[in-house]
Amino acid sequence: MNLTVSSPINSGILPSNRTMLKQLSLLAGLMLVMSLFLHGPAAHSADNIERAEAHVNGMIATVQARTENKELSKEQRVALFSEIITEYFDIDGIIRYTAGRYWRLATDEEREAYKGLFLTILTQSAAEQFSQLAKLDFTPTTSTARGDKLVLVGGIISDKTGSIPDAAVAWRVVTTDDNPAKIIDIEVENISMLKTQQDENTTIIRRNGGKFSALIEELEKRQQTLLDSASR
Amino acid sequence: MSLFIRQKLAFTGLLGILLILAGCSSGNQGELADLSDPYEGQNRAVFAFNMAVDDYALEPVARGYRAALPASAQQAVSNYVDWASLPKTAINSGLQGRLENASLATFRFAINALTFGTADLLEGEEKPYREDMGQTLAVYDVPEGNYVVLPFIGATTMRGFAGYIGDFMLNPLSAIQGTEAGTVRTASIPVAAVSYRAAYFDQFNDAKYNSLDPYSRLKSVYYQQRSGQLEDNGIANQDEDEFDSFFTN
Repeated sequence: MNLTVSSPINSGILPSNRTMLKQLSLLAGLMLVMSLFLHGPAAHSADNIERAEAHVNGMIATVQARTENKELSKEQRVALFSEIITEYFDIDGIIRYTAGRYWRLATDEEREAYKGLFLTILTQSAAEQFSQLAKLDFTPTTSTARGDKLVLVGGIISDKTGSIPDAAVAWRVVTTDDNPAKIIDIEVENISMLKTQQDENTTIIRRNGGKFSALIEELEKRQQTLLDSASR
Repeated sequence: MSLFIRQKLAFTGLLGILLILAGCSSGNQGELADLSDPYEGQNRAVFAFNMAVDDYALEPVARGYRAALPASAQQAVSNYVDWASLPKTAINSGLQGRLENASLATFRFAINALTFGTADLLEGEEKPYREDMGQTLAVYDVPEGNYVVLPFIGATTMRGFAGYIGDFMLNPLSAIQGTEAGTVRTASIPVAAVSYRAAYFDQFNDAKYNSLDPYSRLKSVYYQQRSGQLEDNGIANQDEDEFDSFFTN
């Protein structure tokens, strides 16, 4: 009697080493994909939050260091804020967004004019607030990812002299993979500066029959007012 | 029929009319800035009137108030205004089923009543979320209605206006007539207006004097503030950021 003892593998009860390896690799691959799905977005969010917080903290440290010098002239203050805005803010995105749906309808000349006026008014206004900015303190609170490209970095702004009530602020930071983090908006007590400016600008254009030039005219008037008050 | 009961009946009728109006005039939530303001012409006229009131009354009084009253006294007035609004928060939290918030508001009101609201004896403790009838109506899915600017009151919506009247009528002090409580209730409104104007003096002046179009700026601020309050009620969608459109414009 010829007894053949077959192993469980040969008998087909268990898979062969090769089949087993294949199955294991498949399982490992599947687990990897699942882990990317399960943990990828969370890890990505945490990374984005870290980048956004570092960016905002860097900007605040720069502002605090630079506003310590009380001897700066008006022109130096404007230049300082121009530098800060360029380095820490996505100014092209902000300019485009604040024009709303009318951006697409504007001519190249109108876009350039709008961009120039917007930047001048922004830096002039910031320079006018120089002494007030120097009195402010920022205490970080919590940051949250909003989708996969935006992070809200929260905190409390308080006035060192106590003359202004504390306010909750949130910096909206773009954190796309290919580009450095940039701030696009500041929310104060749930009020977005970006959204408010967009609403204001688009209302002006809409009330003037969709003419982008109407917004430019209003900005020119505003710029003149700022220049007049600066020269006084 | 007592004055109180007559007031409640009048309130119920008025609220009903306003809710119907709100339902008829609800706009598209996604295009608030343009579409929910069909009364823009009238609203701008009332806004101009309110700005004139601010020019000649509120701003000078608030300026004087800031100059004359020490910071501690201004804080006491601000505390009082907050304290006086706590019954509104308690009632509306209860109507919304937010019992913890209602308890917090009631407890804070009772404790701070010892100082008539002028000192916050629970400083540093958890504060209740502010709630009003407009938020309560939103919780019950009453449509927001169109944007309106009312004389002296300012920016609101049809739903907000209905809520404003509701809060005024449901104020426990409304039930007491001919007493000091009535005087306190009447005085609370201008005191609150001056205290608020003084606390946000520079910010308000910035919007008033430095914006390209103060009307649209304050309208935008109103809607954003309201949206933030409704987020507290769990109504607004917090998962998506409206600025996602930043990348598609």
